[in-house]
Amino acid sequence: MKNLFVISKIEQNFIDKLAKACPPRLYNAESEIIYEGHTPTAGYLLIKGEVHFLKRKRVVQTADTGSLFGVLELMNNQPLKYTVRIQPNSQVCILDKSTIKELISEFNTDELPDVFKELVA
Amino acid sequence: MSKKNDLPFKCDDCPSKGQGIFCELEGAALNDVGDHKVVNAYKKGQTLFVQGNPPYGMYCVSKGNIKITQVGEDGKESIVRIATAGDVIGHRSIFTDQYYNATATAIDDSNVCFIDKKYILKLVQKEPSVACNIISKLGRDLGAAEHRISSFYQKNVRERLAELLLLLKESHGSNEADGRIKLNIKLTREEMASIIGTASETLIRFMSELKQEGLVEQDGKTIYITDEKGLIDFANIGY
Repeated sequence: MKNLFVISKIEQNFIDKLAKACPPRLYNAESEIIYEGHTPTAGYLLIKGEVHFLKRKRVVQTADTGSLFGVLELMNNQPLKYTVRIQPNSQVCILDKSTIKELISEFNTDELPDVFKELVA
Repeated sequence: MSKKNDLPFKCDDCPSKGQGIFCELEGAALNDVGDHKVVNAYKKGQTLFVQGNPPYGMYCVSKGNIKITQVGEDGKESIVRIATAGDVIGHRSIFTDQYYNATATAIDDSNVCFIDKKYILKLVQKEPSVACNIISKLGRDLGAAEHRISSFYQKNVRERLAELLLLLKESHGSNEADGRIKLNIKLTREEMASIIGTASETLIRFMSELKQEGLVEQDGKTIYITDEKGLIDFANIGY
């Protein structure tokens, strides 16, 4: 499957820090969390389970634990080209704009994952 | 990466400017709201939030119509209200810290801004005008909900239908050159029936009655009020 470059992998120590700042939310049922063509209302860090990226109702990519997506699009006000569907029993940390801004100001730039560094630059 | 979202991003450019809860903010304060929001165009049928989910923010309708529905234990869906340009939705859950008690779905193509909960809570403390506007909105919502409850007990279906058409006239009506009032919202029979708490068949029967009485006309899904005074009498309300 082609990589769509919308997903970043996050290291476990930062996942733990994020999970403390934003308690993960469990999705019991399959649910569309971002519609194709929409700017995400939050960035998502997948703690457990799987998400599917869809184009014209077909799965074109999947993401698993430790994947972070939607952050750059959210902060740069850019629409996502794909619908993102979370799979049952998956857990995500939901990072809204205010939380991302707080994280950027609270952490040293060196501690931040690359995707956040891009926002600081 | 995709190009920038080209929807009107600044609150100053919003088609419903002057009607929302942030409209008394100016300059830097209004720009700060703009900096914290996300604007999206929802197609008919797309969901903004789902009943039972935790609230992460508030939605401000810039253009279009959003139906707010609740699903009962029997799985039956009922429309509790329709939000239109200038309305906010999801605000109640932010302040009560409860899960959304309803689902919000676009009933036509709509532009909606999302503002996250953390920012709203900070803004309410910083800007008294926003807090007052939210309290005012909550008060009006409560008033409308109380009125709706009493209507269900005190009015029959015929009266409730007439009252719904008059309410839609207030929120979506526009005067036509021929004197009729056009309702600029296209609701299905099922949606209208759900709002007044009846079956679709009953709604169809009473719509036919209103048409025969010369109070309304219908062109496809578009409804025109042809005799407002007659409709007020029909609704049995002291307007």
